[in-house]
Amino acid sequence: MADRIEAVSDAESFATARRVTREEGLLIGGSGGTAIAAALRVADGLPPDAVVVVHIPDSGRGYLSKLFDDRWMADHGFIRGTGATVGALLRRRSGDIPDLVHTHPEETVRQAIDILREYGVSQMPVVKHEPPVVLAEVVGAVTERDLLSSAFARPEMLDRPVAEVMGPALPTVGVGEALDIAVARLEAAPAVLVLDGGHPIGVVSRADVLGALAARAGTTPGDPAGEGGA
Amino acid sequence: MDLLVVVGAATPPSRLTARARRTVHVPAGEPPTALLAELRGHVPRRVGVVGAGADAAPVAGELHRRGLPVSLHTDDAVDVPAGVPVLAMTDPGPPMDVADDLLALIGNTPMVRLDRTAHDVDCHLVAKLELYNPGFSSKDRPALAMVTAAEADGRLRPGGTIVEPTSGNTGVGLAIVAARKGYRCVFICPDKVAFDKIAQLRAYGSEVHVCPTSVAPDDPRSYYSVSDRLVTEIPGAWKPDQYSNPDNPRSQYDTAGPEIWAQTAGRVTHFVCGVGTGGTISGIGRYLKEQNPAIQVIGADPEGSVYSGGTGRPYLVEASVRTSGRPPTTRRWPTASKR
Repeated sequence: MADRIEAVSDAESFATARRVTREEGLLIGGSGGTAIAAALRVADGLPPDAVVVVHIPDSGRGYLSKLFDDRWMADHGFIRGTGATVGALLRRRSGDIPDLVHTHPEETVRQAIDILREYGVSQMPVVKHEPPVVLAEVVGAVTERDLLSSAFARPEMLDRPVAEVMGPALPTVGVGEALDIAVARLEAAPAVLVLDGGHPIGVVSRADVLGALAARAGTTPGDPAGEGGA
Repeated sequence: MDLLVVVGAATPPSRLTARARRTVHVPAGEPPTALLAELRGHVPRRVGVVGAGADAAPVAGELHRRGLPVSLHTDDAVDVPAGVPVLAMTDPGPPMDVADDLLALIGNTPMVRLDRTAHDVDCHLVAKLELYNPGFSSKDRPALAMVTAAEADGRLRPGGTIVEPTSGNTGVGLAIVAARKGYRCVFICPDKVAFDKIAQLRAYGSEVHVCPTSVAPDDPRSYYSVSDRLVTEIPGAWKPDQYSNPDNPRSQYDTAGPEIWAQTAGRVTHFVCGVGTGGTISGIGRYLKEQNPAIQVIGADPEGSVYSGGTGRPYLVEASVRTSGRPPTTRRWPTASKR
């Protein structure tokens, strides 16, 4: 039916909905933001007599606790802070670890252990697709400790799928959030999953944060000056 | 009133029918014997009799004689026993600019210029404000159209239950129509739907089942499986099936399309609309292109959805096809093999 399709990211949809709400006094939902973002691209360069009609399907009243909540937006990596952020910590990590070390629910426990060992990490999310994934595709997490205890108690588990032994998904933190938010969430979990524009992009562990804090205190030689702006 | 008795061929105004807990029709010119027999078992507190004077007055008189508290609604001069109040059937005052019911307020939404937002463009950018519908979304239109069509051909009967998997807006529309028309509603929602939307459905008296988004569509806990099961389990259930129901795009074609054409004085050159279920953009787009084939229809798509060649994966913007509709080509999530 459509002559063409304009793809709009969640980040642009939400930013547009918030801007229209502020500029026009019109409280619209995220899908209205998607439509207006596309309409602005369509309108760009059209002559003055063109009439672009944009369909606003719903109100923002149903999303006050989501895209209109700065806390929710920060937690999902839509709002960027400055200074010692989770994102600055991710960037400082050495380059030989892929952004999102992960496993899949149908892979075996043995394969998952191999992945943890190969990349030298202690836990990873279980996701249903190859990255980039969205949050709803994260179905759980496996930790070194969980895998060890199940494989030790029942060696046959090594050939069972990860889905049978995985634990709940890691808590999340936004890429632009301050490090102390990650620290608070690490009290209850060994690691947190970092979201950027709604997409999981990496895992930050207690060890990572300790490393960053040590660097900030000046006890780690070779720390790039000004890293994280702390 | 507890009971409205319509005598003969009268068509009472909705002002009366909407107030009656129950409406019965009796033929003119004969005593309401069957009705009286039935009422002996369960005596109503207030009974209205409505119809042409010559037809309705004898019925009202008979019910009064049997001790029932009767009022007569007719526009004709009548002779009835004392103790039977006679009221006008047609409201005698000048007409008020007041809708008969909320369903009459669906559609005819306003449009507004977005000049602050469009500060960098030269053309007109105008918005069709579907949030001005009674359920605060465009989905009130298909909800009303689907229910009306299902009533007309008997798929939905009095006392029936509407069962639909919906991420919110269509549910709200259906809940409003159901509340006003007296149907029960059961909805199935994915778990990423904002809490307020679920609370809104429950506020209208609907029942809501929340299902995990992260399980495969053929998992028994999935949105799709639960709704299929409830449709077969609930007696008198009717599933509007918004994704394949032709009344969905038809409602947009019949109402929103002509509204936009008229409101823009036929000047619309581009129509931009979320792809969603596809029904909105196809219905409105088809109407507009029939008026002027040069009109460009542009789908706004949350990145990566099926409409732009994606994989039918969940994402964060709500109310769109990827989680609110069954993936059209496959029921299995693709499994990845390489890292």
